[in-house]
Amino acid sequence: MRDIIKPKNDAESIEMLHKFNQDMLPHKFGKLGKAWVVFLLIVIAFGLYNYTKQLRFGLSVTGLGDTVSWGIYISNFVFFVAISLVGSLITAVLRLLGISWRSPITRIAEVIAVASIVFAGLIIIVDMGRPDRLLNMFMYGRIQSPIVWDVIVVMTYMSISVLFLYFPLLPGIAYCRDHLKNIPKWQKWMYKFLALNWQNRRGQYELVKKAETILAIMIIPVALSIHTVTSWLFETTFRPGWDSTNFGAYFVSGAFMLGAGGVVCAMYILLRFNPKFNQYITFKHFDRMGRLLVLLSLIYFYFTVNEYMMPGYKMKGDEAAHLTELFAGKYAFMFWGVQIVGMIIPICLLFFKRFRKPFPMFIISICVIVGAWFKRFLIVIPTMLHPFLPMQEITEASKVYNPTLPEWSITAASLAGATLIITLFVRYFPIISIWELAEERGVDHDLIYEHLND
Amino acid sequence: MKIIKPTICLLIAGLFISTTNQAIAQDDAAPSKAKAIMNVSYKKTDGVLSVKVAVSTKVEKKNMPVDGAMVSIYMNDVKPYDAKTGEGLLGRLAADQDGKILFEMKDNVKDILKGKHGYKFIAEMKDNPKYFDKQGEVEVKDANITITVTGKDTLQTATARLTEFKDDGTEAPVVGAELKLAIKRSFSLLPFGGDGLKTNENGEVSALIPSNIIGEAGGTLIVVGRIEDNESFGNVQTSKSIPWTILPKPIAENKRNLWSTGKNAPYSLVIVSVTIIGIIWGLLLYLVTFLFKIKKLGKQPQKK
Repeated sequence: MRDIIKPKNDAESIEMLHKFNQDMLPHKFGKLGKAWVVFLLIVIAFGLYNYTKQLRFGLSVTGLGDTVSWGIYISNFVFFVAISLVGSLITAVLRLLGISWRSPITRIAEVIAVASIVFAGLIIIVDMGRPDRLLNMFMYGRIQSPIVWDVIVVMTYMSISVLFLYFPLLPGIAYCRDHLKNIPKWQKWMYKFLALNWQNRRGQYELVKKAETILAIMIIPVALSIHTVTSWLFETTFRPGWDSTNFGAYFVSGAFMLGAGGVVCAMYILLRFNPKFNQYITFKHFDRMGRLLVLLSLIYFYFTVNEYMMPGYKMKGDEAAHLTELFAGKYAFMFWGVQIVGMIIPICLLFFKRFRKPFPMFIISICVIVGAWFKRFLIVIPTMLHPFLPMQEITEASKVYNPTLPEWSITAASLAGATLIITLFVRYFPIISIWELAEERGVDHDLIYEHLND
Repeated sequence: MKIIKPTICLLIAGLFISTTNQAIAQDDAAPSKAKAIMNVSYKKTDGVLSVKVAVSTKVEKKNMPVDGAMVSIYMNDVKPYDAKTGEGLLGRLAADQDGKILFEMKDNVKDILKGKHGYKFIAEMKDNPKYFDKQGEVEVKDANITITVTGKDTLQTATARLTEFKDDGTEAPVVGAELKLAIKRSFSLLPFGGDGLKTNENGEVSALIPSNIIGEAGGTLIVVGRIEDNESFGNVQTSKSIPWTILPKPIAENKRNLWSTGKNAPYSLVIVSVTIIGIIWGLLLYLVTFLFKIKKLGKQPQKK
């Protein structure tokens, strides 16, 4: 892994642009890459098979019932919404703060955001049991309902994220259109269609930059509102564990932490399977992301303490049973595992520079991601098992929640689906924005316009 | 990609086959019939007798309702109706989409039940093209629940008394039966008095009505006494409306509230949300026009 080299003159700049172009061109997958795609397709196929079962027999094939009506589908939805916030963090927040080292990782963050928000929308439809009733939301929805707000904000965020990914990608698509040889006809057609006649004109770049600035400003409030509204879905429901004024900030901070973990994980995998990227994604990037992750984790830690410490200190009424189950009951192992492995250990390790290197960061990011998924499980399920109304005259089976195989397989398929989108994106498009990287390295704009497509 | 293409095709084919093999298997076995499951239960609600029949079948180890199955209800014996004894066929009904039939015995069969204090109801599904013939039955003795309420305002005690009818027509208390007390709510019954209340030597159970419960809009509270799935008496339920002083706040249907219908959402909320959505989506559409401009610029000749 090398340090960042900056060009000294125009000749070096042009040479650098050519090198970027060559390095960033997407390549065919090797055996491992193909095996990975096949594996993801198998997981998706099994999930789809079980989804057809769910469509035929209804939600009776799941472990959901009258008591726990929101299960792992909803916790998975919250997870997807959370991780999608990384798009706004890396591309918008860091951009508006003028942090230049973000360039090589912005597109990774945007792809993760798009893939996650697409599957957040899909998993909600899966949870509905009767997907045909989605239309009712638009026909008879009440603007007073947080569910309607959530549908609106998910669609808006998805649209913004897609545009935020697409605009800066245009020069990259055009480069693929003009320079990738020996590719199938459909691939050529795809590049031609998506490139929108991109010719590296100054006017085209100016439009892209203007769009990026507008999107960067727009995406921050929308990203904050998407996860805040998701938290309101819970907060507006009067139940132990959800009746909290801290929820919006708690959800958003957790989402940023998870998103940063997701980007670190993707950075490492990209480096591992394409060694050329080590000139662009350097130790510096891992170090900076490590610092960012520890900062975000500390903020999340602060809100977590607020979320549990005061209710735990008071132990009032129905909250007590819920909290006791989390702290010392059935979910204690998962609860403390998530807090310690998914948050406290990453914070402690990331304070030290030696752990802000690629491999330790990768392991830490895996802990953060897995911990975050189970954290969403803990937010949803134990509360559902503690309604304010007594659980009378229901079967014993309704008093517990055990996700069934169809639920697990559909959930796994959604995760595999999001991963497949990211994988296929890496296969067919430049995962690092060449022109933005060139700008970061100090290459003159005129040179970029003139020579990017050479 | 050479390896991936056939693999994807195989996967899609496998998925298609796995989801359709059941349909193929069913087509092959079309002439044979499936087994139906029939559940017959009896209920007496405020003196009105009803027989409930649920018809289902097993599909992949799961109970699926049999929609539209025609079921005949008989009393005592499967035979045409006998006007002298009141026995035989009472009626024939089709199951709803949940595979359920509710046969209520109101004025239509009042005379048949006269003088009887024990019933045997037989449900029969016959000559169904898809399912084998199936019969189910329920036999119960007639029982009665009476409710009395003592006390004033919100400090009132409800007493429910369960009695059975002897052969000579006299009523006798039922001792040691589980009798539940509840208050009728919009969608279900809210139990009170604790679990496992059993009738004493007078056939009675008593409990204090929760004082903080909200009554019906008309200034009443509906107290319910019921026995469920009793071996001898089936399901018997009686309700009694009593005066009550804690009343629900009137819902202003036409007022614009957060809890009103979508049409009656508060103006402030509608204006704020429509403005925000309008601005954001307006900007998004404006950005989409950039894409067309970019395409147009690409078609223009390069300026030297």
